[in-house]
Amino acid sequence: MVLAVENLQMHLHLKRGVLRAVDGISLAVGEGETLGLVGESGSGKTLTGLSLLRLLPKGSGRIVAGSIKLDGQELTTMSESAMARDIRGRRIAMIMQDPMTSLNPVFSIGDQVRNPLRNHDIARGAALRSAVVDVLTRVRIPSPSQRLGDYPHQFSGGQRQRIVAAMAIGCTPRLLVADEPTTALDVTIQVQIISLLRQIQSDTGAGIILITHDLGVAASLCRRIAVMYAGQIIETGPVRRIYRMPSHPYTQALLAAIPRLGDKRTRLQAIAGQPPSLIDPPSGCRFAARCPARMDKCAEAPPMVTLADGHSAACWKLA
Amino acid sequence: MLDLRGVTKHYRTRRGVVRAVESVSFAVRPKTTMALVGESGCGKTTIAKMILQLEKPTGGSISFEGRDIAALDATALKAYRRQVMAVFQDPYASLNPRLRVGTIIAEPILAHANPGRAAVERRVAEVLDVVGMPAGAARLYPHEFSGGQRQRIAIARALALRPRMMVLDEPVSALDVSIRAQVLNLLADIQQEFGLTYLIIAHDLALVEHFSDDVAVIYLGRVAEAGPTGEVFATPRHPYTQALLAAVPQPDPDHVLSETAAAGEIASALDPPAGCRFHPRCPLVVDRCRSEVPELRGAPHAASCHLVEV
Amino acid sequence: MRADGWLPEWARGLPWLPILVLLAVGVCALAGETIMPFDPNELDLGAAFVPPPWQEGGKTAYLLGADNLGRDILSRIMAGSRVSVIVAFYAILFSGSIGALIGMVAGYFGGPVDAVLMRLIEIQQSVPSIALALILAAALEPGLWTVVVVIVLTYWAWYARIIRGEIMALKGRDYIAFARVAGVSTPVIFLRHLLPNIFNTLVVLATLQVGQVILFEASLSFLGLGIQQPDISWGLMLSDARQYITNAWWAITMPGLAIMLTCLSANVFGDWLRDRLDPQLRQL
Repeated sequence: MVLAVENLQMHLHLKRGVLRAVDGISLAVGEGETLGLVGESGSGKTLTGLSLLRLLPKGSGRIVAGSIKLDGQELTTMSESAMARDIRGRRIAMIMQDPMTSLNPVFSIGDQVRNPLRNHDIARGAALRSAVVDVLTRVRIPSPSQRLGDYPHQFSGGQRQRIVAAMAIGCTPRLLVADEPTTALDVTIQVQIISLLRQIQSDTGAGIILITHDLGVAASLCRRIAVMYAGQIIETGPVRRIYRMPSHPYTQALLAAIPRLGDKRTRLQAIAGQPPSLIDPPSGCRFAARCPARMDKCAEAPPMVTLADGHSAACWKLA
Repeated sequence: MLDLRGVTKHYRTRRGVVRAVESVSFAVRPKTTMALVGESGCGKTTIAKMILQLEKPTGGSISFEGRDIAALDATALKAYRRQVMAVFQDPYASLNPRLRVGTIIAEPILAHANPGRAAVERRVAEVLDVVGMPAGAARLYPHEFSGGQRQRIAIARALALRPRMMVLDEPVSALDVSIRAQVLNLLADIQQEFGLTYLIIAHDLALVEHFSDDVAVIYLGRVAEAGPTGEVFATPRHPYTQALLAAVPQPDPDHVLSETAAAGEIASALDPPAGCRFHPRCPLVVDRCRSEVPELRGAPHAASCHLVEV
Repeated sequence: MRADGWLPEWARGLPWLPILVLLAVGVCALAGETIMPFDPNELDLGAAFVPPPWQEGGKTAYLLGADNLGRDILSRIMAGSRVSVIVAFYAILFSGSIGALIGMVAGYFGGPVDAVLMRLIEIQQSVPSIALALILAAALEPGLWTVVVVIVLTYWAWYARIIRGEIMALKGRDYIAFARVAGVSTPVIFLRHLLPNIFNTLVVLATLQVGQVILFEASLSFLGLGIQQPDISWGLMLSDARQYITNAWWAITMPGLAIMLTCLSANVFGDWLRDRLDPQLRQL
């Protein structure tokens, strides 16, 4: 197990109250495995990813409970300096959504890719330069040795995302957290980045957590899926089971709501209502208000029911 | 209803001429939905802007119900604006945060004539009802609503004057997946009820297939392929359309995404490739493609590719 | 939570000291006569060069001392506040309105209109304001209104440039695009969409300008180009007291402090207001 998260709770202390953004998440990522963390905006998936790196909003974000173990080592109790030195960018790396804001426009890409390698002491001097060229080649940037002095704006969106990936994998991390890495890209470029991520995984054996709202992208990359709603994981399981036999009403509704190529339906199935506020979330099932299969028992928090091999969902209907 | 012939738009910038739209032709039949599909920089937004008269074409003509919209005088232009409305992509930027929802929706009405406060309020309440929002929403400000609700308000605003046609620029891209279905269903319902014609700009092919009757696939300012949606998606003729379709991820773990169908990067409209603009990326490229611009041939399913037999 | 928890939301974190200072200045300007201890123009050579009470020889009647002609400094400062307030009010009102209008037109229409107006702005900002003041003072009579005119001609460009930038950012907004699509006329777009969205910026700019205006008026009056005797202005007081600085330090220091305190209060208040209304304006 590269990553084992147990009952993680991360709250945001805002002026208007305490927002329970991540409320009891448990997940695991193995070697060479891609876990898809799927959910809509406000589900807490991005904050979960940031919590793993402890990159929380200063002052307001706090991990209040739970454990995060990377290769058995507990991260929640680690000191900030140890996190920065050993974990961030070194053993856990992150790729974010918008390559334009991930890259600093005033530094050359050579500089930016070099930084993590140098800061984490991966290479020095002449070896450093060749390490940079090497990692840029791996992400398929053409003629990298000539382009070290170029700036981000001289590259296209897809290429920038590759450069960001290069910065992330330079130190051979154990875990890669990719937060909506393809959302800002065109479809034909997206497929290239998806393939790049697959290649990175097979080359390095790193675990990948893919955070996305796009069920198509998740299906093409992930071996396992965890579906998040209102700060909690409501269903988790192998990708084929989630897509073929979705068991939680939310997962079912989500899959029914998206149009698919080749699908002859005339009407999409909408989900009425809105997700609940996370400042004062309902004590029972958080999806109950919008659930077509709602029962009285749903006023009580449902247990995570094991359905089959590694497939479980939190719903009273299944208990 | 809407007819584009050879529409071209060039922008002069310091770095050169940006050939954003080049000789685009297609037609939109009344009471149907036409989708413009393409990736970033293909010019679909520019085409929409020209149809909405936010920009003027450099060449070609756009006709609405038989009349060239560039030749309209002030009165006729105003009448055109009554009949063609728009819904934009970002629900957080398309409503003036300082105005109440009622004022926002009433804006198009007041731009043309003021039928008196009572009549305006009645129409606002009517149209809020059509989009499934409570009448009380008129008193509130946009920030009090969610993205999906704001988009409904934007739709209500576009409907206020009973337009004939609506240009929908990525109307659901900025919304959550579960809300998209709500808004799309709403758009489909009001199209039926009011006999509207839609021109929808989208990049989500599955959505386009579900929602539109006809489609035009745009690549770097030119129409690559156009025709009835079902046909184009079932038997795509242009290599770019094929590549697009092959690159769309499906919510199906066993679906294989093809990467080789369109390798490389999208070129820039500043210095587009000679001949067929897709030739640097095309897996089927032959010599002719590098020098000669293919014509859009075939009807109703047309493609602009030298290798397509029509 | 905090000491001001009992105040309503909008009143928390208010910069009280600057507000009090500004209010005091305002009160003096409006109703100074009723609270002044002395008539500011009353000469009393017997009381010439009386120092402030804490110094030897001072009298409590003259709280801030008296000048070379025995006039009470405190009363004169209170009287001078009227000039400062009037000049600030009209100068900001006119330069703000003219500048904002020009900025809106330049920003919205772009193209040749913008090019012409930008050249005007650049020319304006290249002319040294003191030179402008000298020319105008020679052409018109020096006095309060000359000062207002000079300030308006000097500062409109500053407003125009900033508002132009804001408008250029605003005009790409979708709700403006919609208004055009729906056939809304340009003047209505200006009034309904553009103006309310630059209002906050204008308020902040105006508040930040108060300090500059007061200093400017003081400088002009100091140089003899502004307010003339027997009218009272803080700048004029500085100028008069210059020659006596060795034997009556209070005559120049007190009005100087008044200027400094007012400008500082206006700036701190302006900063607070800016942070409150629109933190994105921090670069101003």
